[in-house]
Amino acid sequence: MQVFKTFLKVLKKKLPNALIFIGVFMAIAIAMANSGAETAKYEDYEMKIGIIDRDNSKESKALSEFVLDGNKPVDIADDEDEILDAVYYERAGYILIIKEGFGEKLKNGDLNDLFENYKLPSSVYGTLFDNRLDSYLNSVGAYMSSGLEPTEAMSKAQEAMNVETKVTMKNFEDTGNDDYSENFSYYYKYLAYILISVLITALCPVLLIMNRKEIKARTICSSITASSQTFQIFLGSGGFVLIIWIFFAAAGYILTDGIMNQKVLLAMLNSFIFIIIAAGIAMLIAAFEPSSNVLNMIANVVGLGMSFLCGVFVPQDLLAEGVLTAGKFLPAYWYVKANNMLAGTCGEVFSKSEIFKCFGVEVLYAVALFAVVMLVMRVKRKEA
Amino acid sequence: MGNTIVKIDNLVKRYKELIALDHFSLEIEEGEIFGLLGPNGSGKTTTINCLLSLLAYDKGNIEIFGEKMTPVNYKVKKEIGIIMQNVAVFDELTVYENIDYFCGLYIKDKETRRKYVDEAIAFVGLEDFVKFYPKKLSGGLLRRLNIACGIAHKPKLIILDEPTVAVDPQSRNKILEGIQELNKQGATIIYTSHYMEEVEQICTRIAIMDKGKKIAEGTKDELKRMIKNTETLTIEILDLSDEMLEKIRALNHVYETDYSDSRLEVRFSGGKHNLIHVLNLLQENNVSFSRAYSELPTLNDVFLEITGKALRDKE
Repeated sequence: MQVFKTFLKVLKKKLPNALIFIGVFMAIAIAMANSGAETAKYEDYEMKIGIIDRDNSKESKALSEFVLDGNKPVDIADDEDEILDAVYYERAGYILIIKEGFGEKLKNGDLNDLFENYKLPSSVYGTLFDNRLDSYLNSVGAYMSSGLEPTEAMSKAQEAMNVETKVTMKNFEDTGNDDYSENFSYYYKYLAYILISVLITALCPVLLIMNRKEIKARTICSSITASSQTFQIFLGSGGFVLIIWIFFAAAGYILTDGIMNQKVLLAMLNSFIFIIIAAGIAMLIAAFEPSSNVLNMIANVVGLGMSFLCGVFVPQDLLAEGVLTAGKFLPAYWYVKANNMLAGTCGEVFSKSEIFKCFGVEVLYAVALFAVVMLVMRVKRKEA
Repeated sequence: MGNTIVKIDNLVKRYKELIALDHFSLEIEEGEIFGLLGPNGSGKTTTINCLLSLLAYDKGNIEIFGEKMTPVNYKVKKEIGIIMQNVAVFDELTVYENIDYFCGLYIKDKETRRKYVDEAIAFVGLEDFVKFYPKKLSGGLLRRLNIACGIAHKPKLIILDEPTVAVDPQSRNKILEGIQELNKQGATIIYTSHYMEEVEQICTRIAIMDKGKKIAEGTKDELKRMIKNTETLTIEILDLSDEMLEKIRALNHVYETDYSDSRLEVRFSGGKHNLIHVLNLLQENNVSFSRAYSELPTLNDVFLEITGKALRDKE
């Protein structure tokens, strides 16, 4: 296994180039996984409210009851300095002073100038509470005009104000898929670019070195059989491809809280087929024996070009018709399309048969690529 | 000596319209250092590539160790070591790892291989550089590494294709001494070069090639005997009249003279004390000269006389 061992030694030297791609991708994936955990939550806010009741009537007590419902009462003396201090030092978020004659005015149907308040000018909660009070008073007025007594109207208004509507939070980016998270979808989508880049930057140079004219000539002249040489290089390439795939599949599994179900398995299978395609692309490029500078250029052009045309970076449903048509001729398009189906994004719907159709197209690309690689190698051998 | 190690019979190799090898035949005996001499493009490397089955040929037959050489004759390949014109090593491996890799293509047993690798390192004098990467080696050391990679498995037949191209004189001598040492240890050597001095220095038998054909073959003395020239005199003379040049031409054994740029060249075919005869004639006629020397024929003269051009015309 001399060729295999040397393949690995050379690969070790070329791995740092690929590690840059892997490192950056994993850093972004980890950051995304962490940001994804912070899902927006909405809950009731308990505001600290101080009430100064100068009227001390049944009506003012009913108002106090409404105001303190769901909020935290704070004791405040009826002194302007203390009131201002309490607001300034945020001991109270809102201070309501129920003016003297509140009950009488209400009985007379006068809803103006019933109370005054203190709050921080920039307080969102204070403004919201003002609105709530206005709504409450309007309701009280409405009930009184229908013939109810003020205390009765206040009780009805409080009851009406406490009716809650159940709210369900909906995210526009949400896949609506509990078994295939948004993070997982992004992870596997961007993986297409990374797999191509990693294999071109790491596998290509090793293949180029192992197949360098002088070294190949020396190896061909040795007593090792040609089939053994080919097998050992294939074993080295295959082993590397497999390790890279296992790494990314395991990392994806860990980063997305260890979800494992049918869709995740299909996503993994999708990425496995695609890494074989990426290996085929790397081998095809290596067969043309480019220089190292040209190789870097090719890695960028192929990796970025295919990713942009096939919807890795921009969702497929946002791509122009012409771009999509061109993309259909590239394997990454079918990889991303299958991933979109699993995630239920970009207008795609999960359908096993459609997903396997995408896998089938990808497999055909892989077979075609390896056939072209063999053809190019045969032509090159004849030319030599 | 006696056993035929390599037998090339009527080899023809075409590259489209170009005939690279034109009915080329050759036999190399065991224990020889056989030189393939010829200008660039004469077909030396093509011959080697056909010999090693790196190239398919159109016609002819090649036998090595009495067996037909084919791309799958691994038994024969096991006994061959090659040192190519271009250095064939991995830049990513150290000196030791490189030799170990190429030796490992022939020798499976680890212990034997370790011993052979150490011996190859000692043979080329790279003991102090075993952990160096090829990029850190000088041109001469790199060539020595290239040789070590080709001989580590102790082959019976070693083929060296222009191993001294772009090598400094000191390293070149070291390489040539090494080749002679390998031969002493029992290896048969095929050495291709367009440097006639090297071939003259180390080869026991030589074939001269031109345009894919073998134009002469033999030991260096046999080759030199094939040509008319036995001695060339060179004399620096500031002014030489046509009349005087005629007198020199009239001397015994002179068959060619050439005077240009104050430099007279006189070629002899046989005869003794030719330099004294010419200098006496010049003195008798009061012709002053500054420097005079005599040279025996070289392989370049052989090539020049047979083909009408110098070995290095094309360089």
